[in-house]
Amino acid sequence: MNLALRYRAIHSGKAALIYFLISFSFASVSTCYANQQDISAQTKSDSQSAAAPTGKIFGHVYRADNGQPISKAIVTLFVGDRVPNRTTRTEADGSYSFSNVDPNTYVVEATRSGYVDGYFREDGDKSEPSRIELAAGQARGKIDIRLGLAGVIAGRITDSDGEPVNGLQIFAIRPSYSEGGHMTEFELAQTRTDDRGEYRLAGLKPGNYLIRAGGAAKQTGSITEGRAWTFAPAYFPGFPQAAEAQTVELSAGAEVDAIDLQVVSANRNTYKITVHISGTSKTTAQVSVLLDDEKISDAPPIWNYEHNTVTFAGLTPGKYTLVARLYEELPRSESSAASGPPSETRSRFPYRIRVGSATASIEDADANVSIQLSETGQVRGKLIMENAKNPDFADTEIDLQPRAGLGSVIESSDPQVETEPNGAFTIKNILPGSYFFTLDQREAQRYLKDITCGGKDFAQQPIEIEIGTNLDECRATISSEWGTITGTVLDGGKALSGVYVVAIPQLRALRENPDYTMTKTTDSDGQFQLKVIPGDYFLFAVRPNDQDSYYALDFAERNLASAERAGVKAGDTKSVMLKPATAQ
Amino acid sequence: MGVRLPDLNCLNPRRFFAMKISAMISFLTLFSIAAYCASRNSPQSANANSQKAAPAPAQISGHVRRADTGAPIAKAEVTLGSLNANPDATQAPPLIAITDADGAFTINNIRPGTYVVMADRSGFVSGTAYFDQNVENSQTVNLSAGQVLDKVDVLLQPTGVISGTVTDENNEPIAGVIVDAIRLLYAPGGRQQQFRQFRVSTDDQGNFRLFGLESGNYFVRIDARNISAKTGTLVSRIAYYPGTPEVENAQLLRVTPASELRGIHFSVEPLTVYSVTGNVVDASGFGGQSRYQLTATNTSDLANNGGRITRAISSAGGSFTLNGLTAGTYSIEALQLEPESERVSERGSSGSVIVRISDSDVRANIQVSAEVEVSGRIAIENSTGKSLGGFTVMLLPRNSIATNPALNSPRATTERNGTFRIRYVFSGSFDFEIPLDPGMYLKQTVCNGKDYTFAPLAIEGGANVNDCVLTLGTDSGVIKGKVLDGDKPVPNRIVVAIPEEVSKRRLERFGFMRKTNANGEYQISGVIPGDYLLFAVPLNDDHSYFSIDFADRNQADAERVSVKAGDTKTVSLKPATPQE
Repeated sequence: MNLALRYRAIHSGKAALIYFLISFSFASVSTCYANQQDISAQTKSDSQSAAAPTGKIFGHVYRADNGQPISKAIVTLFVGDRVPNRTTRTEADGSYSFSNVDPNTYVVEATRSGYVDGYFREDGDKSEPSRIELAAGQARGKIDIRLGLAGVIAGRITDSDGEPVNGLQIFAIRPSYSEGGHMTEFELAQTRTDDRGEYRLAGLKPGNYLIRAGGAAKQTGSITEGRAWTFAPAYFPGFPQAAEAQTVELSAGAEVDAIDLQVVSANRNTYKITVHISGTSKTTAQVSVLLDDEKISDAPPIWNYEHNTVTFAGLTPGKYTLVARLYEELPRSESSAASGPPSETRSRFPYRIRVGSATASIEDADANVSIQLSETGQVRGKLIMENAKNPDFADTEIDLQPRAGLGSVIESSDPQVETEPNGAFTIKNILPGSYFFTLDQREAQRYLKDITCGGKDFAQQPIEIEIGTNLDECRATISSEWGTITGTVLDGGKALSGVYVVAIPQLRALRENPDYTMTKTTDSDGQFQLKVIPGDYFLFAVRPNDQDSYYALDFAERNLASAERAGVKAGDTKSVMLKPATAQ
Repeated sequence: MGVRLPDLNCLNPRRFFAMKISAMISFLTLFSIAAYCASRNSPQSANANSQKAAPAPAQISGHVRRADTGAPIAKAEVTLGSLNANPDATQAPPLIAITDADGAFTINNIRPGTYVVMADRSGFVSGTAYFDQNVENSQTVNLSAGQVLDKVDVLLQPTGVISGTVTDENNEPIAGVIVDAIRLLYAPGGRQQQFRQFRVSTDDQGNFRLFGLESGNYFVRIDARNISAKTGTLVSRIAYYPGTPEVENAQLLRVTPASELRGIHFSVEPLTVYSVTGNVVDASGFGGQSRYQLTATNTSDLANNGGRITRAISSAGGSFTLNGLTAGTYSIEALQLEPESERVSERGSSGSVIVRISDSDVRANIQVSAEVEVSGRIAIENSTGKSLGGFTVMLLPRNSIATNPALNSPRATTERNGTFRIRYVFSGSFDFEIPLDPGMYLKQTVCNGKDYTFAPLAIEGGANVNDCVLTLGTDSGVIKGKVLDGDKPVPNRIVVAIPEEVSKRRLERFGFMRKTNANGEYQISGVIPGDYLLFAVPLNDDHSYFSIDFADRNQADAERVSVKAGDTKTVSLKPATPQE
């Protein structure tokens, strides 16, 4: 089951998150299934006489670092890419063998405590497991698997009195980055503390980790299991935010101890915030509670419709932001009468959002706040196609990508975009915050060259939207004249295939705009061709990694030593030779 | 198992265990429904409620303390569970308090109604407050409008720990081995029951730590994925401490409050798998042309959801082979199949055999017979005109620890005239039982002229048993008295009446027990006339006084009493200190 997901993970960076979650949480389950199937598979093969001639798959399991054989590794043979077929254990010389194997496609995995799980991969350390096509009667040897040494992070969790916290969930987190430098927390491994508050995260691949504890402590023997104690999330060495957290560096085979954390109970002294909403006669506003700019959802609201208030209980001391949104349906005629003939991009059920926010700081008492609902922001303008006589905007849509502020925190609050065939566009219902203009299109054929609103250029800097912001007459120029960077990645004299080539804008502000950072994988000859928005870039050749760390905003600065520079003009092609970077 | 539920059930020991568990479930369900409703309060109902005059809220306060030392417990979570039919939606979030450094808690703004006060703390068994020493079922409290209830104490028993390691044949640690702490409890009739209390996996150093264990007797069992030396494949291996596949050979580990039992070490050798071959034989001594489905269940694995199963189908004529079995004890069941099909025949023959595999392949024949019927009638002594309908007549398999608890006991409900017919009774030996209200008891059982009142009925060879007459007596007696330590009455002692005759101790209906009240008094009603040994034992969550040899182990502490029909006997007792 986890194997299928791993394959997908290679093709999509976002699926990688699922890959780790699934592969870890299901590892133990699939172990159980494998157990059960051993017996049944065996009885079955005993009762059946072989129809087609069977084959053999054999090989060794070695240490990746020094090539020494690994004994007592569990080797699993998967049919296709998901069904565990059989398991065996390696001998003292690291050898294993599956005989009487039916012709089929197989994947082989090896696991051993103290090592990172690994697959048979023909290309050595490429991330994709290799499929073995076994013909009838065929014997396939040298199906060798190399396992890297795993590390351990261990520590103890105490409460504010220094007493151990039992049953608290601990996560080993790999920060992962997406286009625009957004950091995603990747929960690579998890465990719970024991009655001494101790935890031990084993089997970790080397790398940098954040350690987070928090949530509901599950107390053994408790009749109210699952409710019990709740602790505010904390990152090692004791901060509520990931940004302040200290990275734990784990090298292969190492054990890092004493990663201790103190957590604060969220059970004690909780308070209420009552929000009074004005500026509407309707009673269907959605109210979200943000704590230190992160959305929290574990406070069920209590509504009082008569007084147009909503109360959130169970809140611990802290600084809260309350955001109210009201969706108002608009009469259809109003919308279609607005401008020109109806277009496909226009929403079928026109609505507008009214928004308001307030902050409340809770120390030791309940709080009351008022929110006045006001207009959301709106941006109108026209798309202009560079060097095109009869421009067609059918597949092109300008978009606002939230960078910071409410728009980036409140989920499913994307602004609504309407584009007319003549290029006139309206972006409505924009929550307050900082945004980038981007170009949303089916294929990367065009890019947003520049956009000016009220004489200011927003192609390379974010636009700030406030309550009631209303910008007219924006002019967005769209170009199809890309710059091109081609080249080869060479390690010594050897061309490297399957390597990521990343073009990162030299202008740091542009890295936050997801349109600007480009990646491409080298082909079998180690060659690549990248289409980029004209400008100055740093180029890196990196190994694909589970963190996509090249999207981190400071990646280029941290790795300047292995960067190649390239300035590309519209329509230009630049050729660059790259060496593999050892990413920091 | 953490909460001591109303000892009201002690009146009716037959249902004690079922009720203990079901009461806990329904209690928790009620509570979670209340919480659910509270969290889903709709605006409309909140609105409607706010228009009504709210009753003055009540308040409850008290302490959470250690049951053993009386020391205050700080940071315990105290929850007020509502047992009201209509939980008030405006009371979200649930009524919770955390004890302070002195173990004190206060919960305000309580809507009048019926509540349970529960306390939880890591390192302790969850507990509830008892409100009246004189009333056995005193875990609930009625709070009236404006009432202020203080000095509510909740006592929590500290938990214990079992820790150890699992290594392989080279003394290297094995990670990911499942380790279970299985609690052994006794039920009326001397039945042993296993409950899995806690499950962990060994870490990368092969260490395990089973914590949060309520004091009591435990087996420690591992389930290790291990290589089979014979086939080279991985097989799951079950072993009980100190390393036996047989639960009978397992060592019971005693967990005491606030203690750690260290160094529980398992060494897992490579496995060998064996086969069981044999024939299915019917009453004629042949298997005929029938085919059978064979199921081998590891009897050691019953606490783990019904056992690990290996299946095979016999050839026509009944010869079979079951492969891939590790050492252990298996119950092998044969079920006749429909001709030309792999469907089990509904009224076909069946049979089973217990097979023990130690270090070689095993041959075993399975005797099968048709499932039979047991029929008869009930009668109530000295009564005319009473309806005899609606009684449940059960056949309880005489079991050891190895009997599958998932198997339903064969049973039937009596007709108005008292007749019953229990169908599909499998081979084995059974005791008759009828769940009855106190005051009535199963006095005598006679089938085909033979007395089965205290002896089990053997079902074998496919023969039906008819003509059973079960007589219900109404002349039960009463044993009452006081438990005194010197002159001092001893509250909260369990007084247990154990029949002198060992054969009776195996019957559920003879499990008589009662807790003393604040004045040290007890009264056991519905006592079946006979000779008993009385003991006043401390509250014991293992219920080990139900074990068959308890009375013999504790002869010195026993008081003898002979109860004749309709007698009320008064017996004063000294507190006993039982031998485990």
